[in-house]
Amino acid sequence: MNYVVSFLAMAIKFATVFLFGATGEIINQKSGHLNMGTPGIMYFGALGGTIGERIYLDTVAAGQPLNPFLIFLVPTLFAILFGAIGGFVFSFFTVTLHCNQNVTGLTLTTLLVGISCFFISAINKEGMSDAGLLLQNAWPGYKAAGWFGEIFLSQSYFTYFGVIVAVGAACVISFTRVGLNLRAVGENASSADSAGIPVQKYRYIATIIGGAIAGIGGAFYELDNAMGMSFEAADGIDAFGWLALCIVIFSLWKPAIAIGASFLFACLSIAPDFFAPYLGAAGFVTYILKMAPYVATIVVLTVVSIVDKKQQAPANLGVPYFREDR
Amino acid sequence: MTIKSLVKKLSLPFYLTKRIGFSKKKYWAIRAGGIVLAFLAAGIVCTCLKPGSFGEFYVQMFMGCFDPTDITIFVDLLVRFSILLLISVILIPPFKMRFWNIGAEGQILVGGLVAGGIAKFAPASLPNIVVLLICLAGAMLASTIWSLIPTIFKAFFNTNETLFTLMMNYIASTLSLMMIYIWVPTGSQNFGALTHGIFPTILGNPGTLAVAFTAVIFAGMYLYITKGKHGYEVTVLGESVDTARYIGINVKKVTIRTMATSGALFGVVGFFIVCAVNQSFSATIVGGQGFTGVLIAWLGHFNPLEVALFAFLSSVMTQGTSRVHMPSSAQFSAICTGVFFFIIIACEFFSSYKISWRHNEKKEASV
Amino acid sequence: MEYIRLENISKSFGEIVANDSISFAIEEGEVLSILGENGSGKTTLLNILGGIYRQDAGKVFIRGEEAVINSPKDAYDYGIGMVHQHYKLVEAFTAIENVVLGLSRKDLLKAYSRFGADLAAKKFQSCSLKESRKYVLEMCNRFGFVFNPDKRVSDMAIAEKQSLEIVKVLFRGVDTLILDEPTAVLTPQETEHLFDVISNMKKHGKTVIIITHKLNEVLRISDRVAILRKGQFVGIVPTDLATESSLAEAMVGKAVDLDIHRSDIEHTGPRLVVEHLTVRNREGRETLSDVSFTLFGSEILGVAGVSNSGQKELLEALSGLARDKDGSIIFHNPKKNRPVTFFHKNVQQVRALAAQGKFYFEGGEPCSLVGYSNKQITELVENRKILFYENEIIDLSRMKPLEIRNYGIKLSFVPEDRLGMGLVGSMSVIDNMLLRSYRKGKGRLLDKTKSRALAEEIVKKLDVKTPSLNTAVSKLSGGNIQKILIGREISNRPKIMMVAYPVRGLDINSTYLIYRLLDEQKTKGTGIIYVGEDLDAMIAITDRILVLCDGKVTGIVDSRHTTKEEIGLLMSKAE
Repeated sequence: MNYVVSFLAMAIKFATVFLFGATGEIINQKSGHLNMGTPGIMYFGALGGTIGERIYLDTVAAGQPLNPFLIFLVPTLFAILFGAIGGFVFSFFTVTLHCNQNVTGLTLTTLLVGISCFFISAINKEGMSDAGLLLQNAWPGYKAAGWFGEIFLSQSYFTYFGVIVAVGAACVISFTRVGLNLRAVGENASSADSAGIPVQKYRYIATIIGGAIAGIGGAFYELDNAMGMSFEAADGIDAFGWLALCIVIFSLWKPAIAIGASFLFACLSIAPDFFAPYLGAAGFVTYILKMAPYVATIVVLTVVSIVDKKQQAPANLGVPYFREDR
Repeated sequence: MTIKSLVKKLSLPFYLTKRIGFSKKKYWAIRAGGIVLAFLAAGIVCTCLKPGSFGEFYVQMFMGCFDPTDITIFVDLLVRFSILLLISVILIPPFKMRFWNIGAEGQILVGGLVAGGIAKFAPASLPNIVVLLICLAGAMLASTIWSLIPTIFKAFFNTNETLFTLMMNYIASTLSLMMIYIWVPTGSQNFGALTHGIFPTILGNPGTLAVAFTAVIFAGMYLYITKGKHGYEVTVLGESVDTARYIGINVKKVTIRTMATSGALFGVVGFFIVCAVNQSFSATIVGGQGFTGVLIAWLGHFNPLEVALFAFLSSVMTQGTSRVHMPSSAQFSAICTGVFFFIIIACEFFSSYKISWRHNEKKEASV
Repeated sequence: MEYIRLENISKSFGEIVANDSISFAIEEGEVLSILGENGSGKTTLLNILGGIYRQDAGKVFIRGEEAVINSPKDAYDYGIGMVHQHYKLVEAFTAIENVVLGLSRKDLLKAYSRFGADLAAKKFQSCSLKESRKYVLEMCNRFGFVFNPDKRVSDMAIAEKQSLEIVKVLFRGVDTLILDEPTAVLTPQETEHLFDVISNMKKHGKTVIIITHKLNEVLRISDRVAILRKGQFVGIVPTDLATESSLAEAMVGKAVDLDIHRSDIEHTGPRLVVEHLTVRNREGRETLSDVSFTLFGSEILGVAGVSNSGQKELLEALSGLARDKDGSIIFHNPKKNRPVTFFHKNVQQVRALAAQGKFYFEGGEPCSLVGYSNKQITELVENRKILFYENEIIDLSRMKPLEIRNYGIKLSFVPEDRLGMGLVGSMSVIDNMLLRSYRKGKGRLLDKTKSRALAEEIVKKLDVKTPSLNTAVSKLSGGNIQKILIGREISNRPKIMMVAYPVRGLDINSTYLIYRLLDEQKTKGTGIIYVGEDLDAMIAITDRILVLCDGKVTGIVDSRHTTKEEIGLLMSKAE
């Protein structure tokens, strides 16, 4: 029972990172941008979050208590800023300069991973691991609620914020005029343009917002001491980013489904490290478990392509738009 | 004039038109300008990270690649260039076919894994050359299988190959870690130095022979892509599946054949990396070159000669920057490479679009 | 009253000058036709007004004030809306979603009040789809449109899509409506209906601008007509003072003979017999049902129908491209007087067949070969003196394109999508010649000598304007692309030729050249299937016309004794 509870609690924590990444990327893709820079942007968000936390920690006088909400808020704002910058660079290249989206995305990831690693390792991390522990205190006294509290109330502000963002994005996309316009831009940019929708503006804004959201995911991973897992801090955020891209497909471009998909992927991701101590001689099994999320994505990709001939992806995904093209 | 039209006048002062009919000279002038600019930008980045190092950066870059007193440094560069060139050129046929294979990383890695495994466990009694040939065959087979898995799904179910091949990279990397875990009891993250099934060291570098083989493979690929019937089929298929079907090209067959060819060649690359360049195996041995290859193939417009140029420039950038003293030189190198590529990508824009200013008096400010 | 004035509008694409300093004025409430050949720059000009293109030079004035139109949204703000030739609808959305697309709350409220909402009476006006639907329907009533708000665009017929486009533009409250080639894809009856809609809009005080190259329609519907030629403005005349020939002359720049020549020759027997052909698409839906017809040699068989009635599927099925089909396609290969060879037979077999009376000599006398020695027979065969008459009958229904070609069946196809199926845009003229023949020659490398010769010949014979043989074909104009494609297909000396919309987008000279080439092929014995949309031209050039409606054959009529209206009725004959 205890194992199950702590496993689920840990999975939800991990799912948060995925959820931010996937929600951001869905917003990107709904506008027709296949942003392969998302892994880099998540990393960049982690850099922003680290800078934000450093600034906050430096403003608090020694010995004074830290405010858990501010530990969440300040880094998040920085992560949003950095993620937005990443999204802006992507859209500047693809929208204004009409560059190829795949190439821009891959280059952006290379660059941002380089920059983020370079600077994160240069930042003084004193006090950060203690601050990271405080993040969980969104609902002090969660233990009173038994297993329910352990699983659902022990999470940090990031997790609740992530769910709010995903649900909010789902509502905006499905039920509002802005969402209708956004979908039109992703489905058929030239039609959207002739209906009077400023396609370039929509693509810019969607990519910037998407980048900002993805950036928060990176920051959370970094601030939560890399989830207390066996990696080096800040190592492998880009792997989360690539999986977030998979979740987008897995959830058929719907943020609400992405919540569940993120949880599933999180379970698959943490299972190997969680079970490693109990495996003993069969240690190689952990590696097989580590492959599971990737294999699951492949299975979903394949099943979707076999079953769903119409394809759920926005019709103009990856297609650049230049009005004077004929 | 109403306020509204005034506001509109204040909006972006230029607009774009597509360039049609662009002279080769102008195209190369823009490209050359972009390359110079990209190198300049890398220097500026260096200065920002470490004030006052602008001049030093270029000295280090040059010495890190072409040090006249030390031939081994240039040989290092050639080896690095060969591997990157091979990867990029092998990616051209799939890309021309619009098969977005970003799984080069994994396809090379499994080839290297098999080559390394064979070399590690080959009986010492076998002559080196025999072991090498078995390694080569094993690597080619493994890489072919690895690249055919996503291909078959693409050919029969039109499964998205970009994400499929990407996932295959991670699976390959995890598989490598698992085999290392199983085969290396010490818990080390690599195979340790291979003693058997390795290339001889020439000019201070075990990869020198691989450079020679690369030249042969490159020549073959050049003919295959630009003059061969297979290359022609691949181009037609990439341009339009309908045309291809109409002229009787079996789309599935050509897709599978092309990917099998490139898979087998990636096996050769993996073999080179493990048995020649590194003489060892670890899960990070490809080091992102599979992705860099994607960028280079793209920036070279799938033209083998242009691809060779960019592979060379990128190798100079990577090797040169790794010599510049920085706290974390691997990341510094990644930053420089990223900036370098971004500027080249941006220059693509100027060769395909023309900027015209809104006010007639300032007309024609194309770059 | 002067409403919109264009002043010295110029626009170039690379080296092509699409509009060269064009100036004229449009009056309020008129129906104005913009007439010009394909490539004369009329669509470009109106795209500038509609905010799609930005002029290189020149100004637009609306009600005397300079207008800066940088986007379609700006155009709407000036009350100008455009219905493009290729409809700009989001296929995955419903009709009503397409109508309100891109409208802000402010825009919607304006539209509501235009169509009957009393905004002052209500404290809060919701802008939900439900509300919008009410006012869109109200508007449709006013203008006489049939409108089904919840139908998905992907399920709509072509005429429905067009009226949705018009509804969409009208709901934005435009005063000026630009229609780009609105009748190109409509049946004669649907065209009539569209003309009713246009006069109805005129009654409501709207200005309507129609881009067209069809002279009879210009005379039918418009008040005035502006004529463009090669990017230049020729003049503007009231329609009352114009005739078809005067307009044609103004449009082309010289007196033109608008008659299409049709050679009256006897057909040479059946060439292709299609029976009970049924084709299904990927989703398993029937796109052709039970199609039967016979194509004769020396005949042009037209295929008419509104777009997506199965024309494309028919041609693809005949050329072996359809995946899922039933029925039979029998090809009659007229190989007259072929010499007997030892390729398939030996001397004994030749002797046996001769005894059955299958062979004859050059003069036509029977050749039973009785009393000939083996050596004599061998000599005769080798000298190709023994002939046989063969009318090969081949079933194509199970063959793929390559098998058809390997069988030696000369079947040419000029597809609708010239650069997406017939040619490869990024390849040079020479490389495009190779498409059909690249497999020939030994070894793994391409042999380009023959294709270079063929390219040279086509460029010379058909007067193709290209900078060089190494130029990518996508850089050439539509007419030159089509000449290259047809030239290559004819060079094959086809027995059957299938052409889809061969003159779409071409200028008059190229159009008539293509008609001439097709007629010439007919006199050489080729059986031609001609899919087109301009019924006047189709009636003039074809011998018979097969009409498709929703994948079924609704009739085969004799072109010499039919009318547009008869075909139009067959085109929309619903069961």
